[in-house]
Amino acid sequence: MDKESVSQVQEAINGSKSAFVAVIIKEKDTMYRIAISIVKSNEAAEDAIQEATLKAYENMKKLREPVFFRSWLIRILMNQCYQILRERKRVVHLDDWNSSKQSVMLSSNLELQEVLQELPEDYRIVIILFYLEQWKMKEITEATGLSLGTVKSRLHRARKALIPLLTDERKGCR
Amino acid sequence: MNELDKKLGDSLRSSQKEMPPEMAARFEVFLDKLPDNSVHKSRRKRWFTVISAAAILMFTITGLLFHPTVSQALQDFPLWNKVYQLVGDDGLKAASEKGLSSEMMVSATDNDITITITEAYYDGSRITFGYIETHKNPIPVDKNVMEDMEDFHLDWNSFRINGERWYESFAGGGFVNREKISDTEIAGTITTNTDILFTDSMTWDIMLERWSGEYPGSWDFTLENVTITDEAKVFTIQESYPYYLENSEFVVDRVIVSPSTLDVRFQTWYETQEGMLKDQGTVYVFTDSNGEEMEILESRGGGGHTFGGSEGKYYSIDSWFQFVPVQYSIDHITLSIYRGDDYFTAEKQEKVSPLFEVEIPLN
Repeated sequence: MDKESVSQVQEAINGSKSAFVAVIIKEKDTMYRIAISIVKSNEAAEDAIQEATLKAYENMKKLREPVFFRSWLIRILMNQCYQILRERKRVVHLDDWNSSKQSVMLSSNLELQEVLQELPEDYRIVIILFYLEQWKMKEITEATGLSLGTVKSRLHRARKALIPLLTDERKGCR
Repeated sequence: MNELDKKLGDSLRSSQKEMPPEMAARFEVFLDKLPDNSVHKSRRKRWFTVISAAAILMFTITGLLFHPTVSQALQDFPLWNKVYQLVGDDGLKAASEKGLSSEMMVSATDNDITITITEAYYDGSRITFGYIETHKNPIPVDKNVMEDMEDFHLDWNSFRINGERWYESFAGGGFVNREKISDTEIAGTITTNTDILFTDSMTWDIMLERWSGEYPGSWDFTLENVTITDEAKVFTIQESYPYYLENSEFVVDRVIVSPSTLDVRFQTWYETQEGMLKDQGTVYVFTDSNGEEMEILESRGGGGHTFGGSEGKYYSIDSWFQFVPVQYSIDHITLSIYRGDDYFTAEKQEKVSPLFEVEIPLN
């Protein structure tokens, strides 16, 4: 987190609503990407994000170190997503990741996204946090509750699935 | 980060999603409406809340230990069979009552916390074990409030069957029941599933880890001779039906009926068309032979594009649903499929007809 964000988180811990809103707005796209990758539907993702935001807001005073805010927030969000999945067992969503918008993308990117979506969910979250959000390994361990070794092994295995798509090794095989 | 990593990151970021504008607008309204966080409850009121919560919890715990049903369970079953009786779902209770779970009583200690795996059970569908976590010092009562139980979450990080393959489970990925049973003890069950059918006795290697919170640790176990119940019936059906979308297909794959679990697995194949995957929520409703809707114990679905062949590109979804069979009459079950979203209520269901219905015979 940058210095400005750390300072805003500290203000939010001290009770500033505007500081909390400012720092949450910065994280909203990350929250959306994580939530949609778990719950699959926009409606459920929106519920999860709002519930997680409310929980974070109500519990800001329990956060001892501002620098852990992002990983703490994402952990709350992931728990909320799993809670929603447990409550809504009857519904299976077709993933809308591959909507028509992406048909104009380069085929390699489309294929990359498809393979990303085919990865098990726990691998996908590590990939999203590391490559898309560019989080440090330590932050990922804090958010997911996984050990450093597990995060590294998941990244390694996911890389093995994704990198061949960049080097054309898998072209024509699928 | 090497060059390929950098390229991979660049490629993924070039197509990353952002929160849709309508959702972002609603989120901003939501943030606007958050109450002011600078106003706090008075200290006296907060203490009252804490004391009340503690009193209610003490009452609940004491009540639980002396509740006639629990006391009877404690008396009627040997130690290794208590955990399924105390915190298992009705299916695990039924299997345990029949003596179908395997006694384990294998312990490991780390950070002054001893975890004993008391029993294990596999029925062709569910892989599950019961455990008791014993702390050296009393567990603070307020930690028993469910929302604070994160500190006691056990991540079943790695798991191997018959020395062959490691599975990894993610925090929250397994189905967990957990309850504080004394000042220093928590009893729990952990359950996961496998696609592979094992037919002989099994050896499980399990690594439990708790990385975060106030009670971290790592506990390793080897469970030998986990027996497989011979009361499980496996129906391999693989019957396909045309689906409600053109050129799509629905295949009932496999059904397992055991004393603890009714496990239904099926696949749905969709021919992908431009934009058709958007907003395709599907609601699955199961009813038993008496027409009673069945409560889902656990469910999971995963989809992906399937390539190749002369048929072109399909999107397939593997789904499975689990139920506790002792609750229902299951000569056959009926699966009704509706289009709907997360808010598909019973009232909405009454007003619409299912798009598709399949009767699955089970005798």
